[in-house]
Amino acid sequence: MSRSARFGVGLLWLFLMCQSFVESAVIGTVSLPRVRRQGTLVSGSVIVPAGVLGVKAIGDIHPADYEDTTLSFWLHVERSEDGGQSWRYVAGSRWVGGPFTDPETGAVNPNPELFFSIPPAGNLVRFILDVPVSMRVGGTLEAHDVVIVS
Amino acid sequence: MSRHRPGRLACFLLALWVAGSRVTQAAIAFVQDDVGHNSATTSLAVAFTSNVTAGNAIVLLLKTVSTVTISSIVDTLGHTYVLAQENDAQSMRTGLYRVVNISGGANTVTITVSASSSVTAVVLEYSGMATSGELDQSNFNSGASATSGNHGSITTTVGDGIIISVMGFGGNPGTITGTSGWTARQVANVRQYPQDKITSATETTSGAITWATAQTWNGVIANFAAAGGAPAAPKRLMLLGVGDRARP
Repeated sequence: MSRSARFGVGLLWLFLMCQSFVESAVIGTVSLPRVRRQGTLVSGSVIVPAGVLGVKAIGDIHPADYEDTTLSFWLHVERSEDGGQSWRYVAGSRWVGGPFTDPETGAVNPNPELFFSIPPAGNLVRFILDVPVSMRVGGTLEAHDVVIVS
Repeated sequence: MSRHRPGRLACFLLALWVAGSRVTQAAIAFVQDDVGHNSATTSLAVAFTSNVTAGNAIVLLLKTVSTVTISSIVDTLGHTYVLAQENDAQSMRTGLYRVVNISGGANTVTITVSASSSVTAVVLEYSGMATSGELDQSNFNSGASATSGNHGSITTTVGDGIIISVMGFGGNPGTITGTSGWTARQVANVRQYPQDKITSATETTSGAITWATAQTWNGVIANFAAAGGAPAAPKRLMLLGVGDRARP
């Protein structure tokens, strides 16, 4: 292999290494699949690992339900310091159906993403979907090892 | 000898007043902060990690879009949030609210807006803030796409206190460099930058910051007095009264 080829391979390796550093890795996740739901649905829990720099909970709304203005739900996040014996509120947000374009990103009908303060490592976290009217919705809670930018 | 007694009495009272002032002017201290953000929501709820302490103050830093209005701000302890400064330029709406002399306990702050939109809320708890007349100065500023900006200039009139600012961005600004000597607080999605500075003397500042990627920006700033650090004029009037009475 010529010197220039070796140099090129080296550059490629360096590029890929840099990419691996800037890509977000999900280091903890728990989900509720998107199915027709109504009522209060509680996800499983996941331990907050060390090194978490970003957390978010994502609602997963069926596209056919998104613009139905009769639909809504609350997405809540809770944490536990005692292995799930008791739970403490962290954050929540309410989604209401209807056409929506994010004026900042231009995204049309984006799934709602709830960012919140990073719970202490070792805590359990879970999310709750509170769905008053039947709709197709799910959710995911993610812990990342990088700061998440929306 | 007796002729000088009123003067001595005045000096003694002056020393007592100065000493007393120093004891009662407790510095403001940061206690805790939490953050929440959702890009498509009509209500956002943010809980404090730990119970808040009775007598402390809560500051709420809010960012949403200018096309919506704030319908309500409530918390589970029943406080009423008072606006210190708002700015609705550059398609964003930033606001700085506070409530002083709070009740203690577990607390979640819920913000409701007039239509589904991006909402970011930072809640901060401080101890040592004045329980009345706490707001000293406030200002706002905004600008088109750039990599630096400020929150508008304020010249504080209280020494012991705190200056708080929040900058909203129209997009991801990348790495942000805060004002020298200030402390960055919770950031949820990198499109807002809250910071504060505990003060022991008056100053003029705009909380200028820089960031990596050019974005539109919209900021607000306000400063608050520490308990006992509110305007000293009433105390001086009292002292003059004592001195007047002491004169022969």
